[in-house]
Amino acid sequence: MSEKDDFVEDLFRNLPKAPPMSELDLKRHEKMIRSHIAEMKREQAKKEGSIFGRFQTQFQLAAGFLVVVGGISFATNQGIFDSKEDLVISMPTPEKPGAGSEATEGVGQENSGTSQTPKPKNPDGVEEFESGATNQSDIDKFINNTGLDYLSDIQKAKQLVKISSSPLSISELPQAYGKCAIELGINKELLGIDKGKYDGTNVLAFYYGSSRSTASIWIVEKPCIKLENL
Amino acid sequence: MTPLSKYEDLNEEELMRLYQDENDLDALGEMAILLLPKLASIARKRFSDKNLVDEAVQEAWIKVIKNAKSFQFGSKVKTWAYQIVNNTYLDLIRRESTRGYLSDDLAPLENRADNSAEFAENSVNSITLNAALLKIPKEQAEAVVLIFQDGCTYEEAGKILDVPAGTVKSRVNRAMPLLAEILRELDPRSWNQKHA
Repeated sequence: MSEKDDFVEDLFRNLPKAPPMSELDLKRHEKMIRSHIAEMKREQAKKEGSIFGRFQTQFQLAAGFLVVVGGISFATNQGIFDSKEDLVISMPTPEKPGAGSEATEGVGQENSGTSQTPKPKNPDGVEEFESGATNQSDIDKFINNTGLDYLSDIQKAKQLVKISSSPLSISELPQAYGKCAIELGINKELLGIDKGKYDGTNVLAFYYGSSRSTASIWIVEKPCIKLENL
Repeated sequence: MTPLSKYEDLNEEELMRLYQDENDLDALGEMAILLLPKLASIARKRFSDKNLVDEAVQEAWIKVIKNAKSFQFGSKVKTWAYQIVNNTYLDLIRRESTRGYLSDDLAPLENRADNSAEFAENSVNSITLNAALLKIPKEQAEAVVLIFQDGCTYEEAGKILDVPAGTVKSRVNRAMPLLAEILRELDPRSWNQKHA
């Protein structure tokens, strides 16, 4: 190295350095990063929400049209309007925690609002894996209400909860559930939902994955706060 | 602030994996937080001004977050972040120079009574050096800064710049006489003192 190079090197070596960043400054940056991430999450949810909303509106219009056309053709063919039962969709009713599989099946049938062919049971008495969800009544069946605590009764909950064999259609779910599934990033693999508890707190358990045996569960608190991934 | 419990024991690569595979934004945030001390340490080697260090660190983590999707496994997240930071700092120096910070602040710094003579001289050197770095090819400036300012070895610098160590060495060798010449033009007084 020449003398000139030494001069440049010396200049670099003697450069003043700022004092190390204080703990306080580092914490401030941490806080800024967390706010930045929270903002990104809000924007992502908004973006996905608007796509979902648009899809939902289109679905509602199509469904409304089908109901009207179906109603007219039914009235034309039968000439009667006396059976209103088919139009009644009952809401899921809360179930007492630990009520067992029998009660759960009851909820499932209640939810469907239509007559169901009894599902085959496996040797343990647990209802077999449901076939793919195709319509609204099927979807309701997979919105469970075990009331079980996922911190202490997860195995029981897993046995009782009915989940679909194929991903549920997000647009057919109540909006809040669909939105949350999107936020969780599991909208394409959602198999079922259960209203339960986690350490005493009311939570929703989102079952997702490719099958019951490999399904994972997101435990979220209202509106869609992640608590645990099981 | 403690990390979110789920991510407590995860390193930068694992957090990056979570983000890329599951779009887990919290993991991305935790990864940026994990890199903070490193970013701050590089920044203080590059800038003597506390506010500039702060600005540089903020700009660096924003870029780390923004570019995380493009990270490719095979290299270390820290090395990748260093590359981003390296570009960020050179950009910042460039921007500061266009704001007039580098040239306009020379005189006030020299005249500030509350600064010791040595500090003032070093600050002027810092500003002059930064100005000189902007006048040489970018890849040479990067190599010089990594070796002399950050104290990297040629191998470490090579990994950061994604070139062989020998290339770093030759870039430094080409940059040094250029820098010396530019510095002589920018600050003939200190050059003459040194070579009197």
